[in-house]
Amino acid sequence: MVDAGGIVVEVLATKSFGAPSRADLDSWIQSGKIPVTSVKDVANPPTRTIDALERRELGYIVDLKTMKIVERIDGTTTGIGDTAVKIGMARMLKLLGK
Amino acid sequence: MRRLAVFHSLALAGLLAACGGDLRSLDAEGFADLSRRPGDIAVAPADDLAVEAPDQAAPAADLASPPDLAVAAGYPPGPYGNQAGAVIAPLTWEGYVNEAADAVSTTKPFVAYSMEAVRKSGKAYAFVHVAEFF
Repeated sequence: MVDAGGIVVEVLATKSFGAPSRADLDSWIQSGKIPVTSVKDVANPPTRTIDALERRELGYIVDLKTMKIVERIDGTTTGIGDTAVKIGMARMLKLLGK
Repeated sequence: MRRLAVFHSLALAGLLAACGGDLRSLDAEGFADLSRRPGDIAVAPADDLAVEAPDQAAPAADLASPPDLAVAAGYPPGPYGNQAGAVIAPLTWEGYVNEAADAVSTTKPFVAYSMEAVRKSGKAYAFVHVAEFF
């Protein structure tokens, strides 16, 4: 998707329901060998993303001209069904004409 | 020959006097436009005063409709939301920016990042995924 001209941002919003530290972010990235922009909230406030974007396993496709959410993708939290990332990637590629 | 030279000098001086003594009034060939005397306000008013000034309230054509790909000056105002059609909040983060997706992200510098930076990236769309780690 990055090659197609999109941007991917993985936000580690919580670690075991609490605010993640930098070490948590590093562990998460390394365990999944995540190759895209990966971030966490700054310390103050530490849960701003989860407050704004509701919960984990939600993906948001954003039109960067207007900053409007084009689509909100609800991925599986039970392991059954597709993840938000899988669904989101397919939808983004379509938007990018690929 | 000397009289001829004197005559030419006098002629030039006269020409300069007619132009208000300003050598800049002469054109490339050295001829002055004697039809208009600088500073003579009794003559018909200058052309630029006879024409109505353009409407300054109307924006110039190139500013009236910015190109589609132009980045707006600032982040869109709120209210912000998390449903389709809402403007996503101007979130700020810290972490590893890896727009080229060319390596595991911890190999990149740990820096400040934000939705504003995403907005200014020049890309058309972004996918923001909210994750949790147990």
